[in-house]
Amino acid sequence: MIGKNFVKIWLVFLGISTEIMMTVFIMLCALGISWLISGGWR
Amino acid sequence: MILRPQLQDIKIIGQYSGRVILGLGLLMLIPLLVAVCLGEHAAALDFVIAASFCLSAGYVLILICFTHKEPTWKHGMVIVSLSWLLAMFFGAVPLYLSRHWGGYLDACFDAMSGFATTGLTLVQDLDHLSFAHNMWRHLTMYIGGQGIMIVAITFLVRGAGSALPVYVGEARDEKVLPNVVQTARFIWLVSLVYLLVGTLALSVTAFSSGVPAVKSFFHGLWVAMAAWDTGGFAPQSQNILYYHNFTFELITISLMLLGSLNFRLHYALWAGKRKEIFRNIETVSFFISIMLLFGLTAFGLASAGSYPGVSSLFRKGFYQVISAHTGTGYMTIHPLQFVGEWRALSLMGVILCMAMGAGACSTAGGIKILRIGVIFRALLEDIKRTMLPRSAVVMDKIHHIKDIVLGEKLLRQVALITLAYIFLYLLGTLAGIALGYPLKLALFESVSAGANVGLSCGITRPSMPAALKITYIFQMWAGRLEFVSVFALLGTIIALVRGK
Amino acid sequence: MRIFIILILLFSVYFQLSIYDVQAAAVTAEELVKSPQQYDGKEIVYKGEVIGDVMVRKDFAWINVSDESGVMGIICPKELVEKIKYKGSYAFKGDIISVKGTFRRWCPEHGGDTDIHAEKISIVQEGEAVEHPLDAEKIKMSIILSAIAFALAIIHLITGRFR
Repeated sequence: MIGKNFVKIWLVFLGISTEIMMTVFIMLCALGISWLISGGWR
Repeated sequence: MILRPQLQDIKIIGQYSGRVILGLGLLMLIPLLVAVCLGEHAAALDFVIAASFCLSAGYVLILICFTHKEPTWKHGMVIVSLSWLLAMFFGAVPLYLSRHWGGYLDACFDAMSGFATTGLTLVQDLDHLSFAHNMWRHLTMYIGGQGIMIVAITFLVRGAGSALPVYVGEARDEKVLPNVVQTARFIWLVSLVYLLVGTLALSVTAFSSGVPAVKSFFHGLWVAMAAWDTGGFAPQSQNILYYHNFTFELITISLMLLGSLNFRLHYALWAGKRKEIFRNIETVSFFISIMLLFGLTAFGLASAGSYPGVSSLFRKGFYQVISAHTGTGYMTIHPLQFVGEWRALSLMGVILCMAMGAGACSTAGGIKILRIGVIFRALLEDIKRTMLPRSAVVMDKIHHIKDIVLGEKLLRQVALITLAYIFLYLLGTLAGIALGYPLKLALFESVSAGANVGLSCGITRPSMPAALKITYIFQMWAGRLEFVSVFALLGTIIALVRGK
Repeated sequence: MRIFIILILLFSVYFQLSIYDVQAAAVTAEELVKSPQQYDGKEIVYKGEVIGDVMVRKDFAWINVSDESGVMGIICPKELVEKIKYKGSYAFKGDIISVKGTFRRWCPEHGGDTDIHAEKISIVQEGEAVEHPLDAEKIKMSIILSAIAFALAIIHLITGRFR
């Protein structure tokens, strides 16, 4: 029973980290676009 | 022939609306507690009046309309739209009593804006508003974001059978779990987990950037509530610009994005199906649309020479784009700068973001990216079909949690709601132009109200005409409930007058 | 001819004075936001009430100053804000200060913020604690309404017309 619950909580934790990683990924992409458009590469 | 509703029908509707008002009265005890703890006695008095008013009204309705009958679909829809209106009228009472709003209409505007998680506000002198009233403003967002009915289902409704109609009526056509009560509990679980995480992150950031301890806790809590529920109220009149802090902005971007995800997606991810995030039509379309529209907006800004430099473009351009796309309405610029510094192209980018909105069955507003994705997909398939021989049979499928066949019925439903949103946006724009505002600004503000975003380009201020205030209130209400329940209420009123 | 020269001189003096006057007069937040190109990079004077908090970050401090038309973010060395005593909130009316500094339309140092880099801050009027007296009408109303709510709740419990 304890083991089952632990797996469940672990999955939720992984899910939350996946979601947060997604938001970080979106922000990084946006930073890339800002860099391209503002001419940072020049 | 239209059937006139019978006394029994009215009783059921009254009974459930009464419970919602009762619930609202109980929720007002939270800001009351804040006021008592922080020694804001005058504010506490406002909440004593408002809470006991709500409780009395709720009890009276429940007593008068006593019935054991369960609501059917027809009732459910009417209960939802009526309860939202009543919540506005009752939720506005403590705001009105604080004397920070120009009148009862202004207070109603803010109450609806809060419940519908819009974020447009008519408050005056926000920087001197009490903690208790700020608590209530942000609480309205937290209640309205998950759904007033979700609150009622969780605490005040007897069985799952009676809960389904009201659940669906609140623009939630997708159930996360087979049972509505379980769905409501899951929605609360996700919201509370992210409220906790968000509050912690934001409070620590606010504290480390120089806000005193108690205040940074409350600011963290409020901003986390309004960001997660893609609301857009903030405790200071400068909105997020007040903090002058990059980390704070990054955390709010994260919270806004998380709040705009479909609750079904949250469930899939939390149950261990992590690949869903790459396959889901919603996340894929959301990502593509954010990047395209941010590219457009940034190009517009850069070509006008506004916000030079990577960090400026990100913190001013991208922040506004994400805030618009998730339907939040947090701003890191002054409202008037939309007029002065933003070229028409960038403004159009933001308007498109607002109009599309984010995840269906999330806390965000707007047309919803799922619908946009489905329409695009259908369009592509139609083009493909013209290339194929006529006898070929094509099965279109989209992936949203599971594979769904893209049928005519689904497409019809999606197209109708999309059309309704476009008409809603046009309605507000027309009202704006008729009252003498320039087209560009009227369009911006109307889409912002209709899609429950809350970005403002300066039209929404206490001195604006009352007719426009009422138009925006209607837009926020209809846009949040996705029309069907609003039509049901209008239909019932017509039936009361003309039915046999 | 001489009169003409004197007239020109007088006029130029007047003109310079009037320019000086424009610089010395406080600019409002709305003007700054509405026509930023006019003030960008120039020295201005801005006057208003300190609201919220003084946020000290290392050697610098951010304050937010509100005049009737809007709020401006102001950054300055932290020594300048030490004399600010009252900050506007529910309980206090903040100090009214006059800020002299450079206006930035989109400051590259602070992520494109529209801000004022202050060099001099002087307190024009000290703030004070704000009293929020209890309204007699409201007290009456709250007693009556809560009595009604209480009575209804009791009726409810007795008749059991709930759940």
